[in-house]
Amino acid sequence: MSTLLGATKPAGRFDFRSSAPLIMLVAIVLVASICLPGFRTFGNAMNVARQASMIGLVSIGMGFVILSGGIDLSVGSTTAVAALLAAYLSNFSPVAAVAVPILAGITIGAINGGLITRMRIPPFIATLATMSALRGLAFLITPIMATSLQAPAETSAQPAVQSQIQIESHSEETKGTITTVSDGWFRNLNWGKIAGIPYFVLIFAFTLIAAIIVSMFTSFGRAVYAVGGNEEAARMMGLRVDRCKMIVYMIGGACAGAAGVLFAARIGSVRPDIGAGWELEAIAAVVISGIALTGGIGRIGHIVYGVLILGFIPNIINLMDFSVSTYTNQLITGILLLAAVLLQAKIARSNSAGG
Amino acid sequence: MSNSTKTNRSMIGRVRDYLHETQFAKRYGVMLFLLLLIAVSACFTPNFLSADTVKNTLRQSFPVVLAALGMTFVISSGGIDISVGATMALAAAVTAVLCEMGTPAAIAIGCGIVAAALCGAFSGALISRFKIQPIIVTLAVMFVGRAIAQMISGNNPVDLPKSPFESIGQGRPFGIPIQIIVIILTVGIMYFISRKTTFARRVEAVGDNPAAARLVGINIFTTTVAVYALCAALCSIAGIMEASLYGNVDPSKLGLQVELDAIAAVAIGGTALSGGRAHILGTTLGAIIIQLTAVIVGMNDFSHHYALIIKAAILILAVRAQRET
Repeated sequence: MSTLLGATKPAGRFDFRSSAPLIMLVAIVLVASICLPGFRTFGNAMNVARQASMIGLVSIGMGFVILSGGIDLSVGSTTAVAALLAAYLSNFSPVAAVAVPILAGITIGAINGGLITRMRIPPFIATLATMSALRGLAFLITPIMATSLQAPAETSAQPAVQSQIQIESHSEETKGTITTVSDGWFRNLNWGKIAGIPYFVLIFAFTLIAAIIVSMFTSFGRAVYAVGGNEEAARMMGLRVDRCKMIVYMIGGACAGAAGVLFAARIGSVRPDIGAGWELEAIAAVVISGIALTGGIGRIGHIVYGVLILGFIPNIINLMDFSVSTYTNQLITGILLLAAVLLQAKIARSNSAGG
Repeated sequence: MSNSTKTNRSMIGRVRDYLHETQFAKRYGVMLFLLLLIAVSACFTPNFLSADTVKNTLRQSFPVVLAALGMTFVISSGGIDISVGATMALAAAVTAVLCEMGTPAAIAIGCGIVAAALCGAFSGALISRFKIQPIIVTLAVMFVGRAIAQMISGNNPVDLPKSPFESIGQGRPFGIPIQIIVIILTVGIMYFISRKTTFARRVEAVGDNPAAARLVGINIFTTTVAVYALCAALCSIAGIMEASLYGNVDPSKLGLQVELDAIAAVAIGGTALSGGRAHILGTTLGAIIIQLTAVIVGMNDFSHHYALIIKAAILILAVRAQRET
């Protein structure tokens, strides 16, 4: 039973495996708060949380996929397509700008699920293919959307339209903030706060809570663990394995779509190459949080630790102010990932040796 | 399919059974697809049937072919290596930085290859010793490897000295681009290894059933380490030669996402992702097909982003066709 649910703790014993990510996070936060004065402000924490909430959403979806024993490499490309759709549609209707990208994500997830369950293509290959195809699609729809934006450009406020899809993002970022004025509702997703907490963080938190409830207290959640733990056994138990996998990939797609919406709202200008490598970052976050890549073991709720650990690294490097470069972040991410999996492997070993 | 029902089947049914029994799609599918692709393009693409097309396709597919050949054995052993692109960058960066410091080119290249092979051996050791999922280990190595490549090169492109590297990257012995000669040599050697050596059998055994492989006395640790080191060494050659072609090493760009094309090539080539038989020629043809679609799309003046979509379709169809048999 304990292997099936993965979350069941052995009675009376400190479950190190599931608390290791939390300990890691607390250690990082403690050390950073002691050493860096700029780190221990509420504003900084919220900034990190807001930045991390996009990859966090992707990671929640990835968590379900990995728990079911699969993998989804297409989430980065899905995010790009969703962000392009969101940026484009935000000029017409904010509701569509939120709903359509998420629906697109679900559709993409359904395609992934269909390739995997109907055509029996290994998840790695199937999502590798959709990853490539969607990236191509993102590049192909960019000019269409950019040119058709010229038409409403005269009618609505100009900066709002121009800044949505831009090839150079940085210089246009100021225009992007002007967009908030004319297209308040959508861009307000980025700036809005409730009780000092940004919408982004709230969206991530709500999604996480919903994901925890789904994974722990619904029959679907149990089915995901069962399928990931032992697919054949799950089939024999009478679980609808294919349906479960299908839903899992649709959740993954929906989360990636939502992340795309947030990205469009945050940056205000979307390039078709965004989200490249997010799939790997999400996998890293999921693995650091103790979810086994073989499936069936780990807790969705712990993803927040993995996401925050990976989110704090660039922030801390920034605050430490030593010739910051992108590779320092990658270096530390890689080392942390190795440390986390080695620790998990060691715990798994000592657990199986100790009985 | 049972043989008894075959007698009163239609012609198509019988052909289908025959194809099934001989595992036709698995054996000749890639080859046929490549021929089909060439035939169709010959009809529709102007100037397609020329020596230049062959040269361009082969030369551009060079890094993917080499990485995919190494990847074939990795996948045959039941693993996967997504650090190949980073390994390419690391080897090239080590070579370039050593050359800049005045090391003779031959030693610098040797160091680059050794650094990459050590990287691969490290992945293999972790995977085998600690039973960690290969994708996670190589993901971490990918992050760290590219970071180290950027770190030692000061996060800037590093120029390679002209004297030996120009001939390594742009040499044309007998009028043939050097990349094509290296492809033919490597494919030949790897094909020999996959067919005639016990090493390939051991790798296959580890991929098929590690427990059984251990029982028959195969040293899983050394086999795994060797497989990943071999893959990394091939990537290092690809990385150094790619860098020589351009005359400099940009560690943040070199070999970016080669791993995905390499894995796709292996999958198209018929090696099962779950491990087992290594299909070297299939992998080679798979890598060439991927590059050829890009070349054809380019020659027909389509945006090269269509090639990404076509590649996805080919990947799905190829893997689907192989699963049926």
